[in-house]
Amino acid sequence: MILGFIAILVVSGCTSNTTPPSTSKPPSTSNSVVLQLGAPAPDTTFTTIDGKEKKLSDYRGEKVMFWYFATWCPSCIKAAEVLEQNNDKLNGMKVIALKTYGNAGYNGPTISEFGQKYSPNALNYDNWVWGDASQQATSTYNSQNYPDIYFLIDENGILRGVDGAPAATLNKIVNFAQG
Amino acid sequence: MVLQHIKDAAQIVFSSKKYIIMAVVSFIAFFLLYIFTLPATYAGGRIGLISLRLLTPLQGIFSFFMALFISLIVPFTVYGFKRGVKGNKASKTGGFLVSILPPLLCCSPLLPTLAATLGALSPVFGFTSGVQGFIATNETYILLGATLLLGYALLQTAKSTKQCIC
Repeated sequence: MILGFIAILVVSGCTSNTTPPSTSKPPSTSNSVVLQLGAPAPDTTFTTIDGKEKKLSDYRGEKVMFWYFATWCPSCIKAAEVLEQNNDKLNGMKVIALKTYGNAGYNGPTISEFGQKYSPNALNYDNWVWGDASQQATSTYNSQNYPDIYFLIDENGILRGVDGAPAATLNKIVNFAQG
Repeated sequence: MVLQHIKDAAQIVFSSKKYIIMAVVSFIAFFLLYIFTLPATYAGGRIGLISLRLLTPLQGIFSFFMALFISLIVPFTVYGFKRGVKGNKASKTGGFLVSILPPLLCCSPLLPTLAATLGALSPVFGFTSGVQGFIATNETYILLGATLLLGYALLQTAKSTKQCIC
């Protein structure tokens, strides 16, 4: 019985996606903005780690991984480590790593402290942008307040993928970056 | 003293080969269960082969000891049950559940989904985010508590097993 239970768990883990949003259906968001795969990613603003105001549209023409996370979240810590280690496979894709507004409801280190502790080399990578998501940006892209969610946006600003836990979905990210 | 109770009980129970087999099967089953479920905390709640890649040494140690304790509790309990000894189900079940739940609840959609469902009834979302954060930042202590709870259950079961041979 126990082995059967394990088998079900393992099989279900292999065949179904249980991480935050599914790849075929982006999470619901605020009423005025619609996130839809294959549609333009809504523009939004955020503040970089050195205090500059940036817009998502500033990166048009580049592939972007638009990642919202909470700095207390273990899957985010692991993701920061794994993405840093695999940065050479990302083909220069822009990784915009943002502390989600409100830090998903629980205190944690600042985005700067998080980067220095778990992904220190990536703080200096040209293709990485670290920052804090505005309330508006979070309500647009992460209204469900997930602690770990990312969006894959192509050079034309079209939303191509959405998922969570980058360490567990690295192949998907690399395939998008290299595709 | 503690180890002596367990050692004595093991000598009694494992005099029969079927209980040795039961312990080995239990250990394998629960060790697999733990090494596949504990890394879910890094995989956004996913359970699968990805778990083995994300398993940390500390999670491996917890998996080993929790599986070891359960693999002794199971044959001890069955042995005692056959002799009419009542065990403490609460500590056994509690330890198991406490050990399994954190990696499944943290950073997975489980709590937000529940919250979204309950959201129609009450504004609980902020509360569940806090629960996720608390679990995530204290997971090591929670697993340590689960291991100790299972250790306590093992000790109680061992004592019961010794008593039932009178």
